[in-house]
Amino acid sequence: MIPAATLETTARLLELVRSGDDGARERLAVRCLPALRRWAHGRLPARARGMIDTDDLVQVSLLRALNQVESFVPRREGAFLAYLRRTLLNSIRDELRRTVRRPGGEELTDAIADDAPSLVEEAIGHELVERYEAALATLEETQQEAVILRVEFGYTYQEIADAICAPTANAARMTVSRALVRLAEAMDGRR
Amino acid sequence: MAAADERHVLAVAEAIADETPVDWEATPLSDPRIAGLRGIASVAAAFRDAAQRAEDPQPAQESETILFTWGHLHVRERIGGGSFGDVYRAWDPLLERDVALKLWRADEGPADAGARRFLHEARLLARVRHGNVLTVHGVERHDGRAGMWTDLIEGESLEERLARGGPLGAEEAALFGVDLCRALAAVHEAGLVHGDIKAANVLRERGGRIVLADFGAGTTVASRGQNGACGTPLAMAPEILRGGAPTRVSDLYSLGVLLYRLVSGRYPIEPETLGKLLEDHHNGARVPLVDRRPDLPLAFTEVVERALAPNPGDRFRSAGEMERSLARALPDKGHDAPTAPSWWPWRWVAAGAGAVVLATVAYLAVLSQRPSLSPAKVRALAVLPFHATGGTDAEFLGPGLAETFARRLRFLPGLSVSPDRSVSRLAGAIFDPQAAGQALGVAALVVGTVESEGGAARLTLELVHAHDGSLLWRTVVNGESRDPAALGDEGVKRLARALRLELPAPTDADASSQGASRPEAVYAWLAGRRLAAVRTGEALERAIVAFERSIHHDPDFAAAHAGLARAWGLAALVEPPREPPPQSWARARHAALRALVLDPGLAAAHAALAEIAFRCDWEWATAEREFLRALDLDPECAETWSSYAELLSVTGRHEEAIVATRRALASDGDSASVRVSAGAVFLEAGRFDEAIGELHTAIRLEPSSAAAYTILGAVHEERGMYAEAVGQWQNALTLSGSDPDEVSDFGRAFASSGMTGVWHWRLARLEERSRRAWASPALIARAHAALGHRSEAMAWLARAVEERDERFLRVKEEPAFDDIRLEPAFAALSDRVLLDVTALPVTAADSESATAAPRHPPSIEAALYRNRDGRSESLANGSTVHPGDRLFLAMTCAEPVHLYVFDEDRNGSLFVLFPLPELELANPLPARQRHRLPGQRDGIGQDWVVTSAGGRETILVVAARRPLPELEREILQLRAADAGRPVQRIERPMPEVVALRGVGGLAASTPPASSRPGSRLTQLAASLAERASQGEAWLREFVLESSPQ
Repeated sequence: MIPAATLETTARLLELVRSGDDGARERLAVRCLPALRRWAHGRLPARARGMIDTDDLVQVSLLRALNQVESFVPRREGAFLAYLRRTLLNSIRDELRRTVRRPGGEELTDAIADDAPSLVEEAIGHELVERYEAALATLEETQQEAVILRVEFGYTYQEIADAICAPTANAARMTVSRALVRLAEAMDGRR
Repeated sequence: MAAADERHVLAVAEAIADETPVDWEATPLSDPRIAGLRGIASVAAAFRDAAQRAEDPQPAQESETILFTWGHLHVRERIGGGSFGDVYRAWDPLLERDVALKLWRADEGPADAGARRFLHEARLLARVRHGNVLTVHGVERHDGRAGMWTDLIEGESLEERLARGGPLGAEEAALFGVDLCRALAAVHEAGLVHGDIKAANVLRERGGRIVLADFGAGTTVASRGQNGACGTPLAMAPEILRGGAPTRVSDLYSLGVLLYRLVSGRYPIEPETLGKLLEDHHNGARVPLVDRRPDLPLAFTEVVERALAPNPGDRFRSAGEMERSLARALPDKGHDAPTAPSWWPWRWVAAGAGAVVLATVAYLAVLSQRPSLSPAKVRALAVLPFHATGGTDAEFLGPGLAETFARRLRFLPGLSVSPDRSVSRLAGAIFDPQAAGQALGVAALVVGTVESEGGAARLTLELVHAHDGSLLWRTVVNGESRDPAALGDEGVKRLARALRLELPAPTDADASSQGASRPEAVYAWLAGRRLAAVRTGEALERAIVAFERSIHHDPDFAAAHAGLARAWGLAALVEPPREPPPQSWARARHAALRALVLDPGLAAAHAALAEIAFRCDWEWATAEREFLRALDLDPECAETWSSYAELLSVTGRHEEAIVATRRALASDGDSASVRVSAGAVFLEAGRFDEAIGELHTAIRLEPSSAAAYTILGAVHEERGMYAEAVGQWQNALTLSGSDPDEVSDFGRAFASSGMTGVWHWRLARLEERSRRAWASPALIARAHAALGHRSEAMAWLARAVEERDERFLRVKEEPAFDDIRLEPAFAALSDRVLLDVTALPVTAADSESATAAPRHPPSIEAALYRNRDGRSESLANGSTVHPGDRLFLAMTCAEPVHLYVFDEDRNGSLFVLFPLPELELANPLPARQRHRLPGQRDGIGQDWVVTSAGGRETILVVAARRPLPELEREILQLRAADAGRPVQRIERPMPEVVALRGVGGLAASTPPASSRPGSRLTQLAASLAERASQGEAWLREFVLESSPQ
């Protein structure tokens, strides 16, 4: 989890990274890595976890995201993490295609990738995760961030408030709750 | 959609966001958004679990072959089954452990009443949380099959136990019965009845835990009644066989059958055919247990017979009543059964491998509906001591973590958390949520389990409804065993979220580390404090272990050293003490000074030092000064106020003592030890009614307080109510663990000869003890005095004064001494210890003048020897010693002294040669004995060994009537600087010896030579020179030459 109350806020670090501060890039990476690592653990297929080093995957994704920081300029921590999450999801899929081969040596197809459930999918099923992802994409940006930070990253309300620029922890809680209702409506609509 | 629905949907969303449970059954699924939210709740839970697992290594079990998946469970193998369906061993990736999965037979659709009932009943059982009831982890329907998953128990059923080992003894059966009564109490309290208590449904886990389960033939009660083949009818109450519904008392009947069978291998009624069973019941064909097992204790047999009464009204009314009767039937061998809270999950954990026994759910019938309570509505709760398993410090970890957990919760605005003392008072009781809730005035209880294995740790927290024990909320926190505090912190955060309360950021005010560097040190310290408050010999021994464990984790933890000092001091006061009190006081002093070196501003350290000055040194002014210093630092410490009050009382300042006592009571009126102390103070002041009031309160707070009964007896004795006094003393004897015959004997002594018989009895007992261990000279003197043995009484009194026997302070005013109180010898003794002071000196200078020692130094004889192959060779001043030489000091003293021996080498390094903490010889050294220093270890005499080569070695020997704080502090600092040096042992060339840098030569020079100005030893000697000149200390400096090789 990214500490909310630090001397150097994530937003400030993002500013510094954008201005070309390599040190800030390093500090931002160090700050984000633990949360991303935990998150990636749940999204990586069980059978792939032995083949792909989660840390490597997360670090590579983070590096890619930071390299594109000039073209994508998230100003809020929440937006930045949501962006990282999307990058990481793509990376996981890419890496699975590249590294996981069947015994015969054929490349992983989409179908096979879908057959390799992540921990989260193992627990609740691929179909539900898909519905959740699709519904999440329909939410407005701040609501997406709120849901991701609370549901997926386990942020406290105060941390969410800092990340999405909400005035108070309680305001963040209401944002999360209302976003969950919107998400539920969207999930139902896609059934 | 109506506005009300909007609010409800939002409330569900909030609950998901807050990670609090949602009662989906009570939530209408007609709103499609609810279905969506239910899916989101699953997503959120899956992310949480995955994040937790990211912290843990992958368990090996995950790689096993999977037969199929059911929900999130990976089903590994089929291990049982029947007409109801199948039972499997499955891997639960969320719980990360094997579970038992019972799957109902293929669903026959919504009309499958059996499946519906199975699910309903399983959900009810899932609400029962008890260490002796099988834990249900979940109930769901997947892939067209209803199922539930539970703990997988490793062990055997009692049926298997019976087949393997034959009938049991009454004691073992009663112990099983006690646990089963507790299990049934939990089931009944949850509004359920079991309906099928039998040997096959009770598991004995490896490690001994008894678990009530059901191997479930899957039949209903009704079909059981008709199914003569299953064997269960033989255990059924007659009213059930006649078609009645199962009840609590029918469960108890079945338990009676089980106990009958466990000790006899037979059933009470064994008809030729099952069809004849009811007829046999009707005809009273039951074979009394005594006919089968005439050797069993009558008390046990009577419990079984009462449980088996044909008329339900003649049986036990509740499981609790039967449990108490069974507990009373147990021989008194210190079993924990009647007192240990077996619901605590420490007996839940499977140990080792063994036959895998599967358990599933019993038939349960709903008796009542419970009022609902959501976690968000909980505003008053109590945190029960957590149970911890695994690791050396499990005993301390659970309660300590719970206490710090509760402390953090108290910072939640709007939440009331019960005081730790009130909670700990329930620790010895059988867990009864309703009773606990009422006693503590709370709606909910927090129950926690900490499991440690390797480097990983897991904290399971449950919020339990006090009304009925149902589960309101549950969470599992994973972490590292080396950082249990982090587990607690995360648990607090999650609970705060569940309660919908905002947890303030930790501040210095709620930092509970007490300056310790490791949480384990804090937990052990907390355990030590709790145990020391009990003040029985056994509890104090455990307290000492706890404090030592705390110090092991953090050697610089001042509070633990202070706690250790207090525990040793209290151990010296226990009757009988486990070791001669002077030894305990020496240990207390060492620990207190160490605490002060580490933290000069620690109130507990000053209080400990005050206790030593008061009860061991009889240095009243020092004691008062230290008490006041401690109270200045911590004005709310009731224990310090109590002790201070006792000091004032002993020195005759009764009014002030009562003021201090009232201050102690104001700080903590719920403390039994404070009440006992108040009773003693009122007794000394002659205010008997108030004394009795305080002592009765103490007994109500702590029914096992032997001290309260002892003093209560003394109050009655003062009033001339001797029969009442003896009765109270008998209570005290019983609570102190005396043999019942001994207690009866005491009563008979009074009955036959009145108080003379009592004193003869006591004297004989004390004299017998004095032949094998330390016995209080003051108590022996009191017995002699009461019997008119004046000369013996005076002799023992003199010895009591010489040994600084603390009991002398408490008995000096007793009527037994009235006849000899005016004798000059008694007055001289009193003068010597200033017992009759009316105005206590309050400054150090006053104190020193008032307690001035005789103006001549202690009379000491000392000589240094070299030990060569068992022969002692006296060493002269300037003698040359060689590396490997074994040396010892022989000395005698005319009065008890505190001795200190230091050694300084040619480089100016200073070492402590005596006292050494690992050796049996300790200060003060008794008079008129030849002492061989450094002492013994495990009964083997020790020597100092010369280890230096070359140069001059100087030894300084200091003796004094009183401890010399400057030297005590010096010793502690030297040891702290190099902990391994003073007791460093070498195996070569001689085993079992104490290795030192070098000693040698023998010379006497008074005052000490100052040949090495500026050396530490010289400075020490110089600082003591003034005392030596005034006769307060005796000094000798020995100079040796160490051979270069």
